[in-house]
Amino acid sequence: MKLMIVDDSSIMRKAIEKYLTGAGIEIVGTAGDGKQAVELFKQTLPDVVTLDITMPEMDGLQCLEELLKIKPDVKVMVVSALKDEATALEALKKGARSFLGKPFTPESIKEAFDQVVAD
Amino acid sequence: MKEEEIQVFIRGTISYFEEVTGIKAELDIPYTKGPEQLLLDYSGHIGISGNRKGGLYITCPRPMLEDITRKILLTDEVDDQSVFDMIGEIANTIAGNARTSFGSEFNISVPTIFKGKPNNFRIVLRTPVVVLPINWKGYQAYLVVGID
Repeated sequence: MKLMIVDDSSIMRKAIEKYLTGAGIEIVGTAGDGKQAVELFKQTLPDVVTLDITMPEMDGLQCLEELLKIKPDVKVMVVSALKDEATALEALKKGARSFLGKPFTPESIKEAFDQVVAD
Repeated sequence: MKEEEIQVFIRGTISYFEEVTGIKAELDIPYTKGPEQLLLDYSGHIGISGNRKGGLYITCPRPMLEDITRKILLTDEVDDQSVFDMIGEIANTIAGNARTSFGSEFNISVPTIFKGKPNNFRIVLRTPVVVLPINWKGYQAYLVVGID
C-alpha cells in the first residue's frame, strides 16, 4: 500500500508518518502544498493520500480534483482543521473517501485510515 | 465580538490542548488588549476573511512548544523547525475549528509564523482585541483575537 502525505505543516507530516507507518504501508512521498503534491503524485502514483485543505499555492480541495483526474481510484482521506459539516460534505462530494478533523490522535487517524483502506 | 463568540475560542483552546496532549489548559479571564506588545518567543498568526474580518494569533514560550511537540511526535528530540511549525499548527487548528461555529464563510489564511518581536511585521487584527490567557502545565501563553 503506497501512501502520500500532504500537509503544509512539517509537524503534521511527521506525526501522520509516525502514526501510520506499519506493516504493508510504504510512504512514497510527502508534500507541503497542493502544487508540489500534484507533481509528486504523478511520479509516485500512491494508493492512498492524506490531504490537508488550508495550504499555500493550491489548496487541498483543488488538489483533490487534480489527483482524481490523474488516478480516479486513488483513496483520498482529507485531514483538516476545517471540520465544519459544509467543508466535510464538499470534500466528500469532490471525491474524498473520508474526512478527519484536526486535531487527531494516533488512534483516531489509524482508525480512519484503516476504514479508507478497507473500503 | 459577542461573549458567546469569545466562548468559541475558549472552548476551542481547552479542547485543543486536551485532545493533543491529554492535559487540559486553563484559561484566565479574557480582557481587552491595550497598546502593549504581547509577543512571547514564537507566535502564529491567522488572517480571517469572508463573513468576518480580522485575525488572531497565539503566542507561546519555546519550552511550551517543545513540550507539545514532544507529545505529538512521541520523541524527546525536538528541532527548531518543528518548534517553528508547532505554533503555526496550533493557530491553524484553533482558527479552523472555530469555523464550525462561525460558518463556512469564515475563511482562514495559512499561518504566518514569527519568532520574538519583529519590528517590521504587521499583525492584522480588528479592534476591540480580546486576550485569552492560557495556562498549560505551568506555562503561560496567550490567544489574541481581533475579529469584527
